[in-house]
Amino acid sequence: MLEDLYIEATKNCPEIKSENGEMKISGKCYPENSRKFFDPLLAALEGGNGNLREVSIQIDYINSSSTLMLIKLLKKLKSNLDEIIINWITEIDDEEMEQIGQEVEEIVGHELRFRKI
Amino acid sequence: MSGNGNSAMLVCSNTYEDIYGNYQNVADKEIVSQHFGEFSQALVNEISTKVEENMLESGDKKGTVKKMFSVLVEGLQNIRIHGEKDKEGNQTSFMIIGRDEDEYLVTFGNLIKQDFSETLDERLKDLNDLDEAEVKSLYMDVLTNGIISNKGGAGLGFITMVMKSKNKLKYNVAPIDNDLACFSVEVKIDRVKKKE
Repeated sequence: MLEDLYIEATKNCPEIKSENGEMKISGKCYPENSRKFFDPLLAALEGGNGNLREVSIQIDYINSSSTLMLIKLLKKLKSNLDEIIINWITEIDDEEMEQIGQEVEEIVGHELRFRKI
Repeated sequence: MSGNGNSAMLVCSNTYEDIYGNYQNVADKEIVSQHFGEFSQALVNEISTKVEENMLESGDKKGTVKKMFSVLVEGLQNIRIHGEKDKEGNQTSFMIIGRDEDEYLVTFGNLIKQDFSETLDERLKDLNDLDEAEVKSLYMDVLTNGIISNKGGAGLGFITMVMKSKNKLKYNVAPIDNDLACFSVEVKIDRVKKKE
């Protein structure tokens, strides 16, 4: 199921695309009920990461409850596969999202690969 | 005390008018956006996106725009998740954004249970007593150990507002009757403009 997952973006939820071992999460992420959005993803990871080896996150804006859920998601991915690669992609002048990336890195306890575009 | 649902509407509407008048006439602010009544999820998305566009057009730096977006989404989702309803079933609430050259002021208002006002007051007083590093450490702590309620909130709304704005919250509780009160909270966001 995780191998080739596709969830279309909405006004306040990001696109999620998973293929060839890489999952990409991109767009705005501020659903009012963050559990409704993230719980199915967490449930899908219960049995392991499948062939997922890399996650790329390129989010322009995230609300606080989704930040919490994203951390849970990354912790789960890491506990399934310790050498998972996590890319944190931000626009060059987006200090806010870069800072959130640093906070996420600290809490997940896993080095993120920061990239600016 | 009158027992009809309109007393809640009246107190909220008076609070809203007072703040609106104060922004316009006393603080000499330009009103960027305002709404009185209920907030649908679609309206929350619409307001956040419109204010973002308006700020970018007005020359605000991306950092200020992102801080505002954050404060707005947290504030409006707070209202929708926690705002009480009046006796007629309306989740009466409001939002006003004013600005001048130096700052943005954002006020959110919603109904709360009268018997919750003391708890809320203590919580916000404690939050306002923290310095910047303490706010950050509280935020990290909730993110690390926090759980999300069934409504989807993490209890991070006010903490995020203080952290992003780096300013204290100004708040007020106007009693309505034995059951309800009108709570309003103001966040100040300092303005950083793009260099020409």
